Amino acid sequence: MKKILLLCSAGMSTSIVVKKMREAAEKKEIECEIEAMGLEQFHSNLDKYDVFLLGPQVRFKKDELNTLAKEVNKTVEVINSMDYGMMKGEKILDFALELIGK
Amino acid sequence: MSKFTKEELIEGFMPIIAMAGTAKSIALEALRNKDKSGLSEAKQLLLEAHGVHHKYVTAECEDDDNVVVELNLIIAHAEDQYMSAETIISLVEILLDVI
Repeated sequence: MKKILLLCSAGMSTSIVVKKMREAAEKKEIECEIEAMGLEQFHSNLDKYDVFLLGPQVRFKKDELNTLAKEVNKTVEVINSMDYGMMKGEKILDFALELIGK
Repeated sequence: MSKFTKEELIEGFMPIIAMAGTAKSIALEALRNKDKSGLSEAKQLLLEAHGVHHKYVTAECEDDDNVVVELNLIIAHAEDQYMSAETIISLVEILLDVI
């Protein structure tokens, strides 16, 4: 099962995006686990998820976190600001799955 | 004006979080790279976020008798993101002048 973790400053607005992504996954019958957490929980969850997506408000942390993720062959990417604001669950889910596939 | 539903408010305030959040990130990246060029984009985004926010403030002010915008945590979070973006952009602008 694919595991996706969304991170933002408190995991608050990201939880709404997670909800929309779960709905999209259910619709597409894709089995995956999607969670939202605050940035400080990145390190303790690095081994538990396949891909890490950042909310636009923590975009400035990408390079720092991606360096750590790369050491274990994982990716940290930033969610497109427009998709995030419009809560495009399906598009963000596709983006995450594509990153895992790479 | 009738009261906004929770869903309408979330749809309205999420873009503020995204725009203000991006603006904040751009400003912090500008500081890290010691490069002012991104700041105009950050200010533009903040202005757009302000535009959306303004729409709700106006709606609330126009109706003296009813609550049009009922506060929730997402709105509080959007306000928080907007305020910190504004502060950070102003600070980064000054910092880049003095360092």
